[in-house]
Amino acid sequence: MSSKDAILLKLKESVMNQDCDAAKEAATEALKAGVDPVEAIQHGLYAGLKEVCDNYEKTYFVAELVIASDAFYEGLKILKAKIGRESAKGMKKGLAVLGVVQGDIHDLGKNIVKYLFEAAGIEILDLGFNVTAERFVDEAAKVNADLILISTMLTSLYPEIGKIVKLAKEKGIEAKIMAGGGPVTEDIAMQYGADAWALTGPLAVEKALQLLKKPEIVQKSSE
Amino acid sequence: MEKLKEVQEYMTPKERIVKLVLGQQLDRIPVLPFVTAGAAQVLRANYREYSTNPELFIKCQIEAQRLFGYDGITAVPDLAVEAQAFGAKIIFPDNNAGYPDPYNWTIKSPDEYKKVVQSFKWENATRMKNQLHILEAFKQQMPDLLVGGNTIGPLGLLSRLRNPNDLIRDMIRHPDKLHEAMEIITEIQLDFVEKEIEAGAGTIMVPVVLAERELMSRKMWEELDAPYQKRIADFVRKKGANYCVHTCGRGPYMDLLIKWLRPMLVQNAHLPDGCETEEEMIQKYGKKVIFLGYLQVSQLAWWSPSQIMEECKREIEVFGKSPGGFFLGACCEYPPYAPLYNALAVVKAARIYGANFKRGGKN
Repeated sequence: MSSKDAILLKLKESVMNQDCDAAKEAATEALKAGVDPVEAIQHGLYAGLKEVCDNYEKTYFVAELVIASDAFYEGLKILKAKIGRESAKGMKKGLAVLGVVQGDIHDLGKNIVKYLFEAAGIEILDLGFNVTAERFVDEAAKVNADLILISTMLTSLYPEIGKIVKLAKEKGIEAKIMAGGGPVTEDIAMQYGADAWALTGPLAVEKALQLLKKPEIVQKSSE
Repeated sequence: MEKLKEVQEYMTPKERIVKLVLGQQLDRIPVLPFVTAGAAQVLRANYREYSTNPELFIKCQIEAQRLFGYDGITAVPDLAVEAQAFGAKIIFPDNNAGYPDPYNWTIKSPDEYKKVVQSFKWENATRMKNQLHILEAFKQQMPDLLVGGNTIGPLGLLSRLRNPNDLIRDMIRHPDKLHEAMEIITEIQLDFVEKEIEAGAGTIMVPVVLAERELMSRKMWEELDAPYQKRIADFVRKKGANYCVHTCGRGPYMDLLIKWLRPMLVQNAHLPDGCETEEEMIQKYGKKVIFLGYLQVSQLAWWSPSQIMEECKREIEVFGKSPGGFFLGACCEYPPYAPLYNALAVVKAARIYGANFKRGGKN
């Protein structure tokens, strides 16, 4: 195994082993050894996070996913600082804004979605919880997002999904809108005008990747 | 809507439940829409007042039960009752159930677990004491009813005191600190449960929401949560009350819940880990527990009464076959803001489609 391959493996394993210190060390080692940071991210850190996400709810669960993501971000911080804007753009399959609707503070599910999407190569702008419809739409417009991901755990707040959809249409936002969260059903998501819904985080990634394959979005992402 | 005849009831809720357990025929299936915060609506009460004023809570709950006629009544306004006694700042919205302030968690670092849980004093536990007072009132005023108390469980309590995202990290990085805190909390919760039973709770419902594929591995649950939950379950039984479990995530570990906790009843929102269909769930676990459910909160919040009644009919047909028994009701708390006509529809469906119910086979 070449030293580059050994470093990439260290990066991958640091994420799989949920070891933040090892991720930092491997990222620093990669830069010192002259490994292309884009390659280090894609074949090291992303590969590790993808392994974790592919085995989510089998060998890795929420706690392991959260700590693996911490390791991923620790390594990413170091490597990302050394890559150009264009290279960073080229790594993305899409950009999504993500948040929990206004009035709702349950953000654990939202964070799981974030990690799973990042692992699939979809960049996330995380708006946090208790996010107004206006903020969802304004932030999506600002970053020219491909997707708006709406999460809620409270049945009383389903109308917020409709509010965001309506506002996005009024403002001419082209991003596709996905809605989910514990009790949200497909019927509810569709009733309020979302483009897609998924029962679980991994299924949401699959649906998002399908939406991102649509020609108009591929074109926009490659601009 | 088709006009159908409702059964003439001749049993009290307590009789209904005893006879269900004994496998005898009932006038109708037991029914429990699990109206907690939602009961505020019957007296047009503001949720903040409802959650903080026990006299108003009692009035609303009794009024709702008399209006709808379901078989159980709960003393639990929300899941932040115990957290208040450990110093959590609880936010009481005007239009929803109370919750701990997400911008100001009580436990801010792993080193604070022990200090915070040791700070518990009964004299500061206003909401827990209110819950005891409510149970006493129910016992006096509703003697024929199934009266339910609860405890949120040790790890559940910690999730109300520390940001859940950080708590999850601590489960891997600082399990020793969690165990230390949970030892202390368990003793306090045993004391609370004992007081609840003395005050009139015939049933203690515990949300064991971490024993689920969605949240935790089997191994982690057995190491981290199960031993403490078991102590509570054993204690409730020893004190002569019914021990029940609520679980609302995807893929609950029903086999582990039964192995460790031996609940009389399980209220679950999703199929257990390893089960693909409702029939499989009944086949695997129906002999060991009574099921409570299986109406989803979205259905209760957004469906019409006709749709609810159709779903109740379907569920009575499917779950009525379960050999251990079935309570028709909500799989989680009735959504606080959902229209209460759907709670009425659930009870009406029980009187029509669940008439002359017998566990394991209707009629």
